[in-house]
Amino acid sequence: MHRIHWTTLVALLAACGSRGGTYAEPLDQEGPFAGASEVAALNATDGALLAADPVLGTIRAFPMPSGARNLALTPDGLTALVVTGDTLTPPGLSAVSLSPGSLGTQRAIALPASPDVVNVSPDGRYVLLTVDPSETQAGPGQALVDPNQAVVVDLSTGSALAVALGTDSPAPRGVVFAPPGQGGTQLVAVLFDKGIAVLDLGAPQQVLRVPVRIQGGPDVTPLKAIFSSFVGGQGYLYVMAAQTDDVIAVSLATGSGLQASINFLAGAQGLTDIALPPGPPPPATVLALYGQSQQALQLDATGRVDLTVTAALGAPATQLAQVAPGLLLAFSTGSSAANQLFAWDPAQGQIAAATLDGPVQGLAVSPAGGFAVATVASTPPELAVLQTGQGPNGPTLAVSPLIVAAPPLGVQFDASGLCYFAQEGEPFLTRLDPATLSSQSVTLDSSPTDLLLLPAAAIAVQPSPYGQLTAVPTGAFDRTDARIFPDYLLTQEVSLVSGP
Amino acid sequence: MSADRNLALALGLAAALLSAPRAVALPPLDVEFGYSDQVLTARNYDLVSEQDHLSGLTFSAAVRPLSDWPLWWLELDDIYAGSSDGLHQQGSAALTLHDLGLSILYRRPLIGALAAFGRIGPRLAVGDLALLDGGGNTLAGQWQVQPGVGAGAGLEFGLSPSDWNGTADHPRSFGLRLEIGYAWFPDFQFNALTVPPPPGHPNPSPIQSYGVALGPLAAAGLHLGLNAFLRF
Repeated sequence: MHRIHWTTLVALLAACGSRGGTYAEPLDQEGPFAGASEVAALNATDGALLAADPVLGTIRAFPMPSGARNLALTPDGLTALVVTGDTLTPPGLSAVSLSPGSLGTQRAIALPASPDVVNVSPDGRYVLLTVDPSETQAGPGQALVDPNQAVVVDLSTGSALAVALGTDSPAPRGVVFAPPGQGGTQLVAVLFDKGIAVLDLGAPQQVLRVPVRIQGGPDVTPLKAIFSSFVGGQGYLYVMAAQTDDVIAVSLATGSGLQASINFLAGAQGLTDIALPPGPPPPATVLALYGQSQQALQLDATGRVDLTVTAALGAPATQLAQVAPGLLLAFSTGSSAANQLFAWDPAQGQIAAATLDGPVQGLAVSPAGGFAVATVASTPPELAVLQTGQGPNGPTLAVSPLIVAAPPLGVQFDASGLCYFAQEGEPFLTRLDPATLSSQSVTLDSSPTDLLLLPAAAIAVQPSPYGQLTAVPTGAFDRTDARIFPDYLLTQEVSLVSGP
Repeated sequence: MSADRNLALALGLAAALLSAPRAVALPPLDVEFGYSDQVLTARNYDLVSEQDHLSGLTFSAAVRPLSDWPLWWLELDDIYAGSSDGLHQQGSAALTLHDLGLSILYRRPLIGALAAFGRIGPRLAVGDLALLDGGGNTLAGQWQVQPGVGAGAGLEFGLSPSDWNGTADHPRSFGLRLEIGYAWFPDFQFNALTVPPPPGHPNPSPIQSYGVALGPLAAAGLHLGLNAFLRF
């Protein structure tokens, strides 16, 4: 019998293991994102999903399978989706519950292919995984990725189906969902450099490939697409493309398989944005904004020119945003953009104009309706509270400028119509009532770089090597009740790296 | 006459005291100083160290409280160790640890200058873990005080001349001690690192921070110690 000498044992133990390489790597972080009641982030280096509850003051780490990446939340904020799989493990999608009653409950769905860009349907039922354009550039020894491959996941059943989108374009430029239809119909449009693929995620076997080509000319590149509502299985996909000023109206029928026909809707010059009419929509109407001719048009999708309603702006505008029932805001963004913005009633073709102290950098619209807040690139920096309405002579637009200490960031509204924002380099969070223009500020311990809004708390995202959040309850909105989540990216890291 | 008697009595008493062996008048005292290396069985110290070792300095003092039990000692020791290492290329994690112990020690001469010993007793881990940014500023930290137990055994080799006379446990000696042992602190974990108040912040009341739980940092593992002892 051989006996192990104790010095041998010590030498063996001393040689066991070395420092986990994980600690030497930079933290690969995704998020944080605001869920329904939790803030979620992914520590991809350690493979952990982190969920912080600002009300309970808890932060929990949930180990994820190998290769965890591309965190996304469902629109209701109750489920976190993480793509998994690497060279050693097969591709998968982990759905992790963020509901208070089942927090951390995880469901792993095996994927038949490896596209990993997560696109979630508006009702959170379907996930369409598409190929990241940057991954189609295969390096030495790497297999080429089919850029037209996609995977449809039905989260309600856990099924996953590989779909060949079958265009001759490189990887998708974008994905647009239709409002969920009846009977599980969920249309989605995948935009490619040349053409569009439309499929019903409830029956993804059929892919409708829509070539978007000007008659006698080349294929055009879709830049933006929006679905109308569908009535009786009939609806439209409106497309703004790079090489034409026409709005492309793709008429879709979902009755017995997907069918499409295309109309090119001529309007004016320099198409810069398209939108759906605000309020209860007539399904065959689309709104278009033209920068060059400085016009805003309501177009009939069937091509009837006599139904076109035109509004002259008198200044270029590049973007549309719905601000109230029946009203949109038309504005330009960027440092060289015009200072004018417009409230537009497309049905009547009427506008109300206002001039700001500088170009608009960003716009947040109140879900309560009527108000919006524009970030204005001016000196000193400024927020402009915009109030829109309908007067006897058409739309009204009132501007109330608010001077701030530094350029605002993270401007957003809560469900009740209160506006929250932070300021670059300033240790404050501010809440603004746009109706009364009264505001409250909470002094933080350091300046935030972003702001997340949950129903119960405003969350300041602060720069720190391992992540820091400061939660300010929205009830009292006071420093006394604020709490810091320090270094949250390292939560349970020792357990995650070393094993339980 | 009486003065002479008193003087003689005092001189006699002083002579008796001076001539009495100190080992009889006071319990023998053992003082040690040396190096200790804890070989950690788990990899949890990876957070603060490149290797699964925690090296430190030891200091101990022991007395033999009962002259009727000459082989039994009571020892108080402290192992002071620290370690730090970079963390995700952003900063570092640093641990300092005092491993305090009170042990019952049994020492038995073997042969010549060689003696063997074993000890066991309760221990107390007093540790501080800090997360630092790239500039060395503390981002978060936590103190931990956790009870545990420890045991060890080893050999002592006397180097003083008296030891070579065949009495390894002789008073007034010095030598070297080699020990292997095990310490176990089951609940040593850093589960609530909090942010220190910002220095000089204008607000009188800093924002309270929730604790960040890094997970258990098990302070358990084999000890290998090499000490020099002085016994008198």
